[in-house]
Amino acid sequence: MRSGAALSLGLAVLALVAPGCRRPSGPAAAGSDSGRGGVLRLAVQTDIQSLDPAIAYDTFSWPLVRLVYQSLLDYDEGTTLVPGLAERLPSISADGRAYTFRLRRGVRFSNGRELVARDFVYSIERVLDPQTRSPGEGFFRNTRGARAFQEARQKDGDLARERGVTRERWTSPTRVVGLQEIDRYTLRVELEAPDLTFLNIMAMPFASAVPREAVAAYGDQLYCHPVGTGPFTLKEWRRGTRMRFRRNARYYVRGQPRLDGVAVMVGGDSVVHQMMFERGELDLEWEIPLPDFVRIMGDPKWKPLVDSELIARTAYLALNCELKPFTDVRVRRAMNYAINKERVLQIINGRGVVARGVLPPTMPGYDPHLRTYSYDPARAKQLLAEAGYRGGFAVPLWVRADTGQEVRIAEAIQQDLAEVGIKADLKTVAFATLIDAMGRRKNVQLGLFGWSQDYPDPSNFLDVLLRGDRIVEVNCNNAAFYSNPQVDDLLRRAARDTDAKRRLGIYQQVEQTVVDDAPWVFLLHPLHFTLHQPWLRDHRLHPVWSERYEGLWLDRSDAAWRRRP
Amino acid sequence: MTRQIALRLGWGALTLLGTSVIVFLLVHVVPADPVRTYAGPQADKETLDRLRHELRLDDPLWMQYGRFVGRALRGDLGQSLITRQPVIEALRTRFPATLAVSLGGLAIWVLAGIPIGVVTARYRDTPFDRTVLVLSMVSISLPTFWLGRILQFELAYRGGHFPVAGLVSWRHLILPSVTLGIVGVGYYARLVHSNMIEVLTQDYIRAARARGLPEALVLFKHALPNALIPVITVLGRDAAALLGGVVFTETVFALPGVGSLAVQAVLSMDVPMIVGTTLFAAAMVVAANVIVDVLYPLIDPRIKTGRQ
Repeated sequence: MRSGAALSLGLAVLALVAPGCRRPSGPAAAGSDSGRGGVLRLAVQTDIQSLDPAIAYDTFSWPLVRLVYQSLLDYDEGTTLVPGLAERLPSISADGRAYTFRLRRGVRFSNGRELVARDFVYSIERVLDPQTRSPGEGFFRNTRGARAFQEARQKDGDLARERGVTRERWTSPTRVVGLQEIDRYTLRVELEAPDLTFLNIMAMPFASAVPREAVAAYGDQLYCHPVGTGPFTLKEWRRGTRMRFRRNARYYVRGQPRLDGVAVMVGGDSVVHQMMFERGELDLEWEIPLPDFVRIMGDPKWKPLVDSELIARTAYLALNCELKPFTDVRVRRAMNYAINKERVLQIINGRGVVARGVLPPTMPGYDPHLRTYSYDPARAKQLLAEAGYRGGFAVPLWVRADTGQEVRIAEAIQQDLAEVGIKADLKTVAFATLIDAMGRRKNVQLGLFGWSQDYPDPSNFLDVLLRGDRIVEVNCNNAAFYSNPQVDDLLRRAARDTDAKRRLGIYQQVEQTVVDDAPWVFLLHPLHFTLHQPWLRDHRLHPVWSERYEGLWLDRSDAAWRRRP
Repeated sequence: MTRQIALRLGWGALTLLGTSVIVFLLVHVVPADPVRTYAGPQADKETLDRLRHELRLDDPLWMQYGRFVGRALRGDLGQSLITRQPVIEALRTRFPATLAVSLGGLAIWVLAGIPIGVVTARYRDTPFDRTVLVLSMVSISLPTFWLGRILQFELAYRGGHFPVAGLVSWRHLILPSVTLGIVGVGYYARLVHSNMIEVLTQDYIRAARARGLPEALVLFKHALPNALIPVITVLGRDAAALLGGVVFTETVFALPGVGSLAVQAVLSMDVPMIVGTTLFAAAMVVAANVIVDVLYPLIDPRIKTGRQ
């Protein structure tokens, strides 16, 4: 997922509140279903990428995409999977390769048509089809026949270009054999190899139901003409200006959504959004800007309206295990002992928790008993001496320049490293440059990096970031170029294992080995702070989705409501 | 005259072509991968390769440029890599905000700058003139983003007299226009001032005064039109620069204009949008130059193009 800071934003807008039903006066109990109505005003810094669930892939698009589109599975208040558009959790075949989903009956798209199993066959094929250009296609590659299907579609694309005609499905296979419609309401998905994370994947927005007729009608303009089964529909999207959503009258959950609509102002930086919020022009601010943080937290008026939630993200220093001096495990461990993570946290006003290992604390399989490194500069010096670096060494430290926070963290690290004789020169670059540089083999020795979960499963960190047999020359996600055959072997085993508990045990074993091998300096997991107005009720942050708007409502009997501009 | 215009337009087209080559090359030497921008930081290599092929970014650069020019000639500047919005459509929907705030700023330059310039020229070297001179220098030196933020903070956030940011009603245009107006008005006041001083020494002004004409008539009817000729040239080119995107003002006040579009495009490495917004700004400047060149002989009969 795209990092929050990259497109950091605040939320909320200037829409008029529709004259909905009147509430009896007096404070409403949280969760009371008499409280409904109103338009939620949010603000984002730039236009979101897309409302097409096959395309959108960042922290800011997803909450808005999920206003309109839904998947077969969802999460409860935590990270436990629950049925979404499916009637219940799917049945899984004994070999762990086939999943059978029963759909809820009577769910309708906002165009009025009923949702059927074929819609999911179509939607997942659409994500896999290279013509859709979905950045999420990789998640479905394990579906049986997916690769053959993709190669055929790519061949079609090349043929169409050569002949100068519109692309069609000429080359076989024209279907993904693993995606089957058993009957009108039953979907069966077969995988190449067993993989329990497939359930998490089926909860991602990429796996949303998209009606074929809408794609046929709007083509690649579907992104601004969304047709889904979700609680809202898009009413207006003036690019670069505002988005307005209104309640979907056909939404299948009774009494939801409680809001009449959502209005999103597009544009302005976090400072502008903070000013607008304090003037009452926004109902919810997604991220309190760093310069205002201490003031807000010290203000009795605002402090009770702050919500915080741990982001399932790990910030780390990648130590390139293929480049000196980090080829030596003693140097890598010394780096871990040398850095005072508590102080790094203070530098960013305590907006996070110290990382003990790879996995964020919200992750299933998080191990609170992991053996890790404490701040011990003397031990660091000793290890450096053992490794033959008694006088220390100099190394460039790559860091992204566009968020002040990362540079501040890097400066704190720089000071700590200087204490043990390591001279780190900050090399500040644009985020896009940093990603490119760190993904190249034997290029960057040391860089400040991070990873956010795509879905709550340890494989999304350990498999993606630390598998040696997945190292590639460019665009490599294993930025430490860490390779331990024992770890690779365990990860392959865990991926195939269909016993959830045993599987998590293997991941814990892997994480301990990784921590011992120290390809990273495990730094911190950031906290996300939002601020809402006193009249916004039932606001809760979610560990996977951050924001879920369908249950929110505006309490017009709140004393502060009358002071709104 | 027709030949003149044709020649100017030809040069204009050549300028745009040159601009497009430079911009195209510049965005491709930046060490960042547009496909990565599109796919996000967590996509794997296989996804990136597939998308690169699909977006035809694996073709050689000259081929990509050729395709770009071919399409541009048919009025298609491509699609945003990030949002897939056609670049032309983005420019069209963003232009009105830029136009509105530019007109607001220009109005302040003209309506305040010209009278100030005339009056200070008349009362030259008096304490009044000196005071205005200092204020003009301050106005010229003020950074737009700083002044914008200060006005926003004091008048909108603390005072509550205006909306903080965004564009919903005409009231949202007041602070941005005033910001733009203030940073330009000093320059125009000085420009008019110095031109007026030159004109006021001319014989025909002395003659007008000798005939006993009221001073206001001398200043505004006889002197000002001649003093304005060079001002119009500068104003035309400044207007063109504004219409290409009022970058700082739009950014501070979250106006959905061409300038903020360009900033977002650069920040997100949206190559087609970067090329499109840059070309648009260049086209504005080229157009303004053509218009000013063509109008000049009409305003000032002393200038004859071509034959003399």
